[in-house]
Amino acid sequence: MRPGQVVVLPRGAALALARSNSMRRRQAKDPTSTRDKRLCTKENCLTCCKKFTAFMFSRVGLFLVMIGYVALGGLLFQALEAGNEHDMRRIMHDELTITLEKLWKGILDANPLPDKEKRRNFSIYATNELQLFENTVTRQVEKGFDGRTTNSEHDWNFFGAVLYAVTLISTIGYGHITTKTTQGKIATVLYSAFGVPLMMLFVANIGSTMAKLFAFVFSRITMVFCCRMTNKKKRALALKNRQKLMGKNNHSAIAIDEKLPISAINAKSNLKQIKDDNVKQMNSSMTESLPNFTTDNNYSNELRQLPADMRLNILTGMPNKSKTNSLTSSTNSIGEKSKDAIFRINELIRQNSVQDIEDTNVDDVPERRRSIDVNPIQYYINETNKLTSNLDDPAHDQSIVSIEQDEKNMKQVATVEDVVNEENTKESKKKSKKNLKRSKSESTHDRNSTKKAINNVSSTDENTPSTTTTTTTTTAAAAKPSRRRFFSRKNNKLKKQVSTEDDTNQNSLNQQTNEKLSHRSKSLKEPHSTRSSPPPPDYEQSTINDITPIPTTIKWKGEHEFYPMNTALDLANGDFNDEDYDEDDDDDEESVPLLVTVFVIPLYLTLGAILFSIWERWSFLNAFYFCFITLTTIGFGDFVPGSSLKVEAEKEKLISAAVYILFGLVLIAMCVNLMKEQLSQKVKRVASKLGSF
Amino acid sequence: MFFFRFGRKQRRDELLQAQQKRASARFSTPDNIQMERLERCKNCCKSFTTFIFSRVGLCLLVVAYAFGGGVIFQFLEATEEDNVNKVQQHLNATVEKLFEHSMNLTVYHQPNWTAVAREILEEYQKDIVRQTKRGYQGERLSDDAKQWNFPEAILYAITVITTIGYGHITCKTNYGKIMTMIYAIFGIPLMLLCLANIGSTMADAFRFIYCNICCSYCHMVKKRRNLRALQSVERSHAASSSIPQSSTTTTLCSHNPQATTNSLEQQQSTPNLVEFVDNLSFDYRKVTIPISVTLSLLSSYLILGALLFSEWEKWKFLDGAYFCFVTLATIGLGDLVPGKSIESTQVEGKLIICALYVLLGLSLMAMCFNLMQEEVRAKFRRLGNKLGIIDDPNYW
Repeated sequence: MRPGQVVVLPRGAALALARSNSMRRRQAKDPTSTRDKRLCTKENCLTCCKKFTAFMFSRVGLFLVMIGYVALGGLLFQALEAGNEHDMRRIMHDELTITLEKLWKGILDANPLPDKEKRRNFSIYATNELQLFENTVTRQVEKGFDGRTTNSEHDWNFFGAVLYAVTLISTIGYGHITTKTTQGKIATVLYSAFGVPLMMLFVANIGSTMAKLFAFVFSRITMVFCCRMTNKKKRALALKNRQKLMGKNNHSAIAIDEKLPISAINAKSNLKQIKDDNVKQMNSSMTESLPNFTTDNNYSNELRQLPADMRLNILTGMPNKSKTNSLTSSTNSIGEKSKDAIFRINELIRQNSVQDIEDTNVDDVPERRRSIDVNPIQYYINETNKLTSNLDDPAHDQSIVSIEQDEKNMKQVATVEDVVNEENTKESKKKSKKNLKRSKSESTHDRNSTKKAINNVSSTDENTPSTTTTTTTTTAAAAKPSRRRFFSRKNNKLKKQVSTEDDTNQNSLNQQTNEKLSHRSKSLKEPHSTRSSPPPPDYEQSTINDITPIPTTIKWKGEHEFYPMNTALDLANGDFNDEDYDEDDDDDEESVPLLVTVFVIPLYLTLGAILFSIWERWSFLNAFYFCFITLTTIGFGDFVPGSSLKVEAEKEKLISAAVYILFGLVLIAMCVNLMKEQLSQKVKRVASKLGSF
Repeated sequence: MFFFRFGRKQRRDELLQAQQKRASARFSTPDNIQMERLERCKNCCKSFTTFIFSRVGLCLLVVAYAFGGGVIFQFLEATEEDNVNKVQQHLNATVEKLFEHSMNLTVYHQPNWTAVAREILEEYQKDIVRQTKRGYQGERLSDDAKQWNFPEAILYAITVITTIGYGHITCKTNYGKIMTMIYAIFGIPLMLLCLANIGSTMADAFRFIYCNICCSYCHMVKKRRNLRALQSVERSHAASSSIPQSSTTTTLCSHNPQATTNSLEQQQSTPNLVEFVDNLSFDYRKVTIPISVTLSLLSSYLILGALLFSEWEKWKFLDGAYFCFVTLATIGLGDLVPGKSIESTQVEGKLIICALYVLLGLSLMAMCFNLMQEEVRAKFRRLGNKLGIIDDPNYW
């Protein structure tokens, strides 16, 4: 009943906390709503604005902004340049007519002369006229004449202008049509000054999304076709290992393996994750038992009773323990241990950070680490696992005894904190609303400086506002399972790799139970757990979200903690999430091989080359050359669709060229995104080989 | 820019390993001379690789690459010339056509004649336009102005690898096109690597200069203040062991003034002191340079280029600025390219200087991006927080 006890005791505290939070929120809202209606509308407007901006910076929003910006550019340039072009065409038409008249006169003059004289006379006369004409044309070309007559369609029609805008902001710059007026040039400069960063943002964002999608699809395909056998082998190996290590507990999981689809999936994950074996089993039993109310496991009753409280216990209780321990007895071993662990973590980060080593500020480390690959994060997770187990191991017994006292303490501190950190929390409410990244970095920061241990109370306060806009987003969270699936799988895979060393640490029962607790909370997607003593779920979550920033899921997870009443919804979602979470452990493909990504770009190039060679009657080499020059954003502009004088420009061609450019750039960003890690690893390997040979 | 990242990492690794090797070599006594020779050869190889990936080596590599590209493209495209006199040929042909046409007519009726003559003339007009876009400026007899001279080829190579791509001259032969593609595949990453490298170096240098010269006064003030603070801390430390009373530590421990015990404070106080001492020895790397400075630097470079080119090429100032912007943003529309106008003299020197301007400008851009990055990110994050929207770091 140990875990049960731990769960039961702080329940009241948890409820009180949640209630107080909601109370405070209501209090904060009430005066504004009742006092002044105009203020209320203003606030509504503000929230509307906020939502709008947030949407604008989301993927869909960015896409729409991009399209809007391009269309705007099309309209702008058309408005600025169409008139100029029209005038130019008219002038040239007049010029040509005048020249023709003159030539006609020349012919008439030369007609009565004899044949030889006629030819000589006419040629002299015509050459002069034509030279004059040529000079005019040359001058007009400098001003923007492009050789098209008035009959043909304008270059600066809407679609031409759109293509111009696209070539501008993607820094391709064909230069097949350029602005000739002063206003047009200024507009070009301003437009590209804002457009180029926007385009970069867009390409990077969509590229990363597509990279995830592509990796996911690819892994699925490979899994279906060729990875069956290897998977089975690996599974068998993992099974052996697990049996060796864990013994009895797992028999049930193996038994389940062939029966139910869900349980089979879960069990597979069990086989893979040697480290989290017990925990995983708990997960599987949880996911089955909670919605169906079938008790497979001993724990499930207790777990079902108070999942939220348990989570909150982990949230609030554990830091409390460590804090009180470290505070009351300065020579406590736990404090030293934690320090040691922190030091180790920092060491690991230092080793693994791909970025500059020069300034490894402890505070900077999590910030920097964010941008790099998953490996250090995984190390981090493992290290923190060790740390927490170390921390909790001796503290566990004490905590059960003194948990009530601790809760009291914590409440007191919380009240004090409420007074002191009123402004802080107000600000941090905003911050932590959707900003998981930041809170993560904060949490790591706090972890490093143990002074701020008490902050965790306020941190829980911070988390509460995220519950406000939650229920609507659950569907969105459900709609994006694939990405998360892939990356959680990745994490698990990584975890598996490092798990063997962790197994040695997991000997005592206490540790295991602690692990269970923490991992169960992880499986229930608890994001912001504690600040001072970090349980692994925080990291797990943050790594997943690190790679796939989905604000909706983050919000939704926030709901879990503080609204234990919404269990039905939560459980349904939790079940769903657990399902695909575990399902992901299935396949081993964590990344797309380099060869495939390298293969994608030439394929796209060839496709474009075929398309344009048919449309524009270019030779295949020329079309390929055009595609290459376009997608590398060199953009000579010697070949531009719709600009050749033989083939008349068509709107579809211009638009398709614009779409081809946009999609190609995104594709290249995707490929770079996929290749990046592997390429850097390979180069590192080569370098190390060079160094050691 | 990721190339840059792993490039540096790799270099660091190499350096580290080289050091380790050297250290181990010192201890181990070599058995035979051959081993030693092999070792020396290896070391030579290693140091060469290290040098290649160093800043200077990268710059030299890029320059050599550009020169090599110039030579190759000139060699490939030199045969594809003499379109200067094509205009004259076209004119003669047009006259001939017109004459033939008028002779063929039996009845002189103006509308009939005009309908056909207009087509001929329009064809001629298109031809002139095409020639003009390729650089024909009306000079009828310019034999020396070969299009693919060496400076032009170098400029072409640089526009390829910087992805500017003016397109003022392009390869006409199939070999040239294939070569351009291959050249770009290897050249663009190299250029990116080099630019990022130079950019970071220049950013460091600029930061250093900015700190040591421009802000020397304010830093002096800050330093003095810091010193005073340190003294006060020391005094208080000497007077009583309760350090939280001093101004600085209270801010750090204000979250839990009651709960903290004395012993813990003692522990905290020492790193604070260390921090103070660290603050005294000023680290220029941590200084963020305001965006206005970097932007003004960029714009001044732009204006400088605009003045230079408008003076040389007899462009308007706006055209010069437009050219510089389009170049430095690597858009490269190519409607304005130096060395193209009729009046310009000493085209070759200008082209070389244009190439240098481009390279320097791009590295300056990289530097400014390097400097602005953190600042802009922080600004946007603050803005996002203020608005209450999520600021996803993956965007940046």
